[in-house]
Amino acid sequence: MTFTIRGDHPDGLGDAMTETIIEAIAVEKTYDTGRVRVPALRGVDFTVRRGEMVAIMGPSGCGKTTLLNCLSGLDTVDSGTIRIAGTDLSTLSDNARTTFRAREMGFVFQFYNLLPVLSAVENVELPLLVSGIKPKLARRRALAVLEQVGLSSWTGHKPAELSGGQRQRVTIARALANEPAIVWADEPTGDLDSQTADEVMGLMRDLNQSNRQTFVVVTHDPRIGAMCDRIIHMQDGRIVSDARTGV
Amino acid sequence: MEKIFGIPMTSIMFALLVAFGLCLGVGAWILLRHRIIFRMGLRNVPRRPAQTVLIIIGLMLSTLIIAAALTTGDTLNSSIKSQVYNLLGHTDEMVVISSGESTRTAGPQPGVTIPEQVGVDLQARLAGNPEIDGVMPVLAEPIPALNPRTKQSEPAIAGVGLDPVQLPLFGGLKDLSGKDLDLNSLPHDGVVLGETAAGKLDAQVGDTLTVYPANHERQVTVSAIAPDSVLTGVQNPGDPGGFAMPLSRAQVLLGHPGGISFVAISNRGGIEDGAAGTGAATKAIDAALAGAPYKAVPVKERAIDVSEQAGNAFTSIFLILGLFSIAAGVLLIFLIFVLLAAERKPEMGMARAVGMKRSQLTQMFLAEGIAYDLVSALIGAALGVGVAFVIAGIMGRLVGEFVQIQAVASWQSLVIAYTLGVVVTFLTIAVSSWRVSRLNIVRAIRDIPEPVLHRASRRWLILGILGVGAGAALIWAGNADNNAFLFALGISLIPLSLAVALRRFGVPARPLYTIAALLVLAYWLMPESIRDRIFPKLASGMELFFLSGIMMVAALTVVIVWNAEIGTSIVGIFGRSFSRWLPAVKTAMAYPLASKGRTGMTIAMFSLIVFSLVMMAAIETNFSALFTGDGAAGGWQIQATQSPTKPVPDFNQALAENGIDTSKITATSRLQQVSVFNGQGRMPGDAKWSLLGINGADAGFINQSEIPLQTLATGYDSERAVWDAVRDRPDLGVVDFSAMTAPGYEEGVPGSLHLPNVKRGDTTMEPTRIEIGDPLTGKTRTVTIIGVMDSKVTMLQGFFTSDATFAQLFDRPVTVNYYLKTQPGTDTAAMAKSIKAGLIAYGIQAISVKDAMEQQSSIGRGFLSLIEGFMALGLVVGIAALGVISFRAVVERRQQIGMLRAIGYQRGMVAASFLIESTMITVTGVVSGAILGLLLSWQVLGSQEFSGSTAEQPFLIPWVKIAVFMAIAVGSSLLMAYIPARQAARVPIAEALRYE
Repeated sequence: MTFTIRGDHPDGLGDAMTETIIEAIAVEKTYDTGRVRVPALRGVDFTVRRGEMVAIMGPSGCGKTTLLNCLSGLDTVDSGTIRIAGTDLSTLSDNARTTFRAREMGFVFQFYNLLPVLSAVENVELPLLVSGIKPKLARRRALAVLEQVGLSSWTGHKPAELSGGQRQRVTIARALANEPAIVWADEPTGDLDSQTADEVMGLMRDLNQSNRQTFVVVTHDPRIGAMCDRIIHMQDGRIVSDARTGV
Repeated sequence: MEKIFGIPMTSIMFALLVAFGLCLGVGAWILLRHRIIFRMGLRNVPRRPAQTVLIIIGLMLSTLIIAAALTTGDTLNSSIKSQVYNLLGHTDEMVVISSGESTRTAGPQPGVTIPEQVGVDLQARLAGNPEIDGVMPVLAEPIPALNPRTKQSEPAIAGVGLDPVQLPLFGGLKDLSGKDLDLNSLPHDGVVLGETAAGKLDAQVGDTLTVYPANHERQVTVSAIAPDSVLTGVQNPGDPGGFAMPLSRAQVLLGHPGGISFVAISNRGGIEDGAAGTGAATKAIDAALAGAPYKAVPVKERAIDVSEQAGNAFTSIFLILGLFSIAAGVLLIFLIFVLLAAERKPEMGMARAVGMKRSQLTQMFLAEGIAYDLVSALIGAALGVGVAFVIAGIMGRLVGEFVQIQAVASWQSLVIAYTLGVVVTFLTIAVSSWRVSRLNIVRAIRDIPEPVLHRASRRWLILGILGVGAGAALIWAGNADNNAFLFALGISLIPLSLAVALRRFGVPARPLYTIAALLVLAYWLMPESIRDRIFPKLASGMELFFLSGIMMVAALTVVIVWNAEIGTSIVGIFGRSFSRWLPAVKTAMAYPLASKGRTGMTIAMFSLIVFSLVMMAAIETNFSALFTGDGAAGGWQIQATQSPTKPVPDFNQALAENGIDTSKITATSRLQQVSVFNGQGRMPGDAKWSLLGINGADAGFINQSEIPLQTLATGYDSERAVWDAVRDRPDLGVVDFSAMTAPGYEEGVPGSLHLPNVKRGDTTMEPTRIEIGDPLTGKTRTVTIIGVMDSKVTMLQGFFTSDATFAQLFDRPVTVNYYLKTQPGTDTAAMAKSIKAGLIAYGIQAISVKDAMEQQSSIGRGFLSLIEGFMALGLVVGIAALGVISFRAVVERRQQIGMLRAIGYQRGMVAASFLIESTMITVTGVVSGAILGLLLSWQVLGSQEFSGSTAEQPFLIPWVKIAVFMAIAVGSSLLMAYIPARQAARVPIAEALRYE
C-alpha cells in the first residue's frame, strides 16, 4: 500500500489550502468502564485543509484529546467516518494504519514522550528507521532537523539532560523528521513556561509555513490558539464553534 | 544428620529459631506500633498477582536449595545407616588379629584365620557381662563358585561358617519370606545362600553349586535363600556375599579346621540401640582379650560414622555449590525490592510528602517482605524436599548396587531450611527496604530519574575507605592464618573499594570501575607461575571456588555494564543487515544500558550460575578424559584378578590349557597388590604410619608397562633407567603422584603418605628413603623412592617395587593381578569374558581395563551430573529475575510503548524489542559465565594442584553442555519474557499515552 499525501504540495500553498486532508463525519466515541459509560465525542463533523494550522480548544474533559487520538488513528471510533487524504482509517488494518502513521504523521505530546534511554538524535531518527530509511541517511536527516529546531549542539544529550523547552523541540524534530503531511500536537506547551511556550509555538508556526504541513494543535491556552489559522471550540464532546483567527 | 560444617545441627537450629523469632518480632512490632503502615505494606501483595507469583518464586529459591541440600544429607545418612543395620544386624564388634592397624580400617583378612578357641574363651569370659549378649565365632573365606545349571559363576563368593548354638543371639537366619532357618537341620551339603550371591549365580533352592576351596572342587546344595547380611557373607555394601553353613562343616569345606576369621560380638539391646553400648563393650572385650594378639573392632559404630560422614560430605558439597544459587537468589530478592520501589516511587514520594517518615517507608516494605518471606520459605522448603527426593531417586540408580537409597526428610533439617531461608530473605529485604526509602520527594512524585552525579557523596568515600581497610586487614589475616580465602577476598576488595572512594574526587566512573574490575579479574585469572612469584601460596578449600565465582562474575559484570555502549556501536555497524528490526534492536539495547544496576544484577545472576555449571562441566570432562585416557593403566588392556585363596601356578600356561586364544595376547605381567588399608608407609623417624598401597611387579610388568614418570631421582637420566633399577636392584621403587606435596597440602593429604621434598611440578628429586610395612604382620622394610609417576596414570596407585622386594615384606596371601596387552583391534571385553569363563576353576575375575575405567568413572560422572542438575536450579533465579524485570518494564514503559506505536512501531516490533532485550541479557550472562568458568577451569587444571594435567592433554571444552545450558537459559527466558512482551504489544495506544 502506498500513500501520497506529502505536505510539500507541488501546486503551492494556495492550491494546497483548498484540498481537504482531514475529514471527520459524525464521529462518536464512548468510554465504557464497565460501570459507567462516558460519551467523549457526540457526532463531531469537521474538515481541515492541507497546510492549515488548526487549534482545538475547550475545557478539560470536553473530548479534545479523544478527537485528536481518533483523527490520528491512535484510537478507534464507535461510529462515524474519519478520512485522511481520502483514506477511511477504519478500512485499514492495525499494521497498515501503523505504517500510514509512521510515514504521514508526526506527534508532539505535552510531556514530550521521548525515550529517556536514547539521545536527542536517536529519538529523532527512530521514526525514520521505523519507516525503513537506511541508518546513515536517517542519522543525517535527524541531525538536519535538530539543526532546524535549534538544537544542533545538543544532539548527543539524553532527554533528562535537556530543559523542558529543549525536550519539546526534540519532540517537534521527531515529529517532523519524516516530513509528515500532518503533525498532531496535544497540549504541546502545557508543560512549558509562557516564554518557552511562545518560542515552541513560534517554531511550529514557522515550520507549518515553511514546510506547508498541516498542524492540528490541542490546547486550552487561548494565546496558543490565537497563533493558529483556525480555532475549533469543543464542549461536552461536540464542536460548538469553528472560526478563523485571521492570522 | 548430627553436624554440618562441624557444628551440631541442634545448635544451628536453636540459633536460627532465635533469629527467626527476631524477624517475626520485627513484623509484630510494626503491626502493633504502626498498624496502618503494616496494612499498607500487606495491601501491596495482591495488587499484581502475576508479579506476586514471580516474587514468591524468587524468594523461595534460597530456601529450596538449603532444604534440598539438607534433605539429601539426611537421605544419604539414613540410607547408609539402614544398610549398615540390615547388613550387620546384631553384630556390633568383630574380634580380629591385632596388627597395629587402626580400628578405623581393621577387619578380617582373607586367608588369615585365628583359632576357634579364641571365640570359645571369649564366650566364657564375657558370659554374664551386662554390655554383651552374644559371642559367635565366624569363619568367612572367599571362594570361586559356579552354578552348573545356569552356567553362571562368581570368582569370589564368601563361604561362611556360623555357630548354630550362638546364631539365635544374632537374630538367626531367615529365608526371604521371613521364615526361621535352622542351620543344624540343613542336609550335610546344604547351605543358605545370600540373596545377592543367588542373583549373581542365578541360583534357586535345590541347585547344586560347584565351589573351589583350596584347590579342590566341592559341591554344595542351596537349601534356602536368605537376605544379605554379614551372616551370609556380606560385610560391606557391594559385596556379592555367599553362603552360610554350620561352622564345623565350613571349617572342613574351606580347609581351615579349628580356624575362624573373626568373633562376632552382639551388644546388649537391639540392632540399632546396641551400637550405643559400643564404647563399654569394646573395653570389656579388650579387657577379656588382655595379653592376646587380638582386638575388638567396633564395626557397626565405624559404619555408622561413615554414614554420618557421607551425609555431611554431601550436604557440604550441595550447600557450598548451592551457594551460587543462594547468592543469585539474594541478588534477585534485592532486585525485586528495588523494582517494587521504582514502581511505587510516585506514591512513596506522595506518602513522604504528606508526612510519612523514611523509617516508616522501610517498615512498609518490611511488612510486605515478611509476608512474602514467610509464605515463600514454606513453599521453598516443601519444594526443596521434593528436589531432594528426585536427587535420591537418581542417586539410587547410580549407587543402587551398593546402597539402597530411601529418601528421608528430618524435621530438624526442615526447620533449619525454613528458618535459614526466612532469615536470609529477611536480611536482604531489610537492606533493600532501607535503600529504597532514601528517595528525593520531588523527584519521586514527578517520577523523574535520579540525576547522574559527577562525583560520589561523602558516604561513598567513607565506604570506599572502609573497604580498602577491610581488604588490607583480610590480606594480613589470610597471610597470618595461611588462609587463601581471606587473602583473595582482601585482594579483590581493595581495587573495587578504591574505585568507590575515588569517585568522590570526580574521577570518571567508567574508566575507574573498568580498571578496578579488570584488576580483580587479572588477579583471579593470573597464570599460576606469575601468581606464585607475586603472592604467597596459601591453603584453600572448596569455598575458594565460590569466592572466585562471586568476585570474577562481579568484576566482569562491572566491565560489561560500564562498557556496553561498545555493543551498540557494533549493532550500528551491522545495522544495515537487519534494518527492518533495527529500531527494535536499538530500543532493546538502550533500555538495559540505561539501567546499569538492574541489568548488571540480572547478568550477574545468570553469569554466576553458568560459571559454576561450566566450571563443573569442564573439570568433569577433562578429568574424565584424563582418567579414562590410554595412559591411565600403563598401557595394559585387560586385568585379571586372582582369587586370594586359589593361586594360579602359571598364568600363561593356565590360559593355554583352558582353551583361551592367546594368539592375540602380546604381553602378560603379574602385579601383587596390597591395598591402602592393608599397607602402610612413613618417612624414616616418623612415629605415625600413613595409608599406602604397595605393589610388587614382575619383570614383565616393569618392562612392558608404559608408565610415564613426572619426577626422576638424581642419578637416573631416563625413565627407563629408573624402571630398570627398580627391576634389578632391591629396595627401590616409584610412587604415584598423590605422594607429592601439593600447594595448600604442605602437610600432605590427611592419612596418606606424602614426600615433603617433592612438589608437584618438580622434574627431579633426591632419592628418598621411606619405610613400608605390613600392618597385619608388623614387618617393615626401608626402601628408596627414585621416581614419581605421572598424574595421568590413575588406575595404578601406591608404591611400586620389584616382586622380590615385595616378597620380603609380604609372605601372606595378597591380591594378585595379571595384566595383559593385546593386539590392536582386539575385542578386549570379549577376551576378558573368555578368560573369566576359561579360568573359572581358579576364580579369576577378568575385565577389560577400558570397561573398568568407564565403570569407575561413570558413577563419578553420574554424581557430577547430578550436582550440575542441582546447581542448574539456580538458573530459575535468573529466569525469574528476567520475568520480574520484563513485567515491570511493561508497566514502567507503558507511555513510551504508546509513543513508539504512535510513531510507527508495529505490534510485532514492540514485542520483538522486549524479547531481544531479555535474550541479550540472558546471552550476555550465560556467555560471560561460560567464559569465566572455562578460563578458571583451564587455569585450575593447568595448576600444580592438578599436576598441570592440561599441559600434556589439550584442554577440552564441554561444548555440548554449554550449548544445553545456553538453550535452557535462553529458551526459558524467552518463554518468561513472552507474556510481558505480548502484553506490551497489545497496549492500547491512546490509553498508554494517557498513562502516568
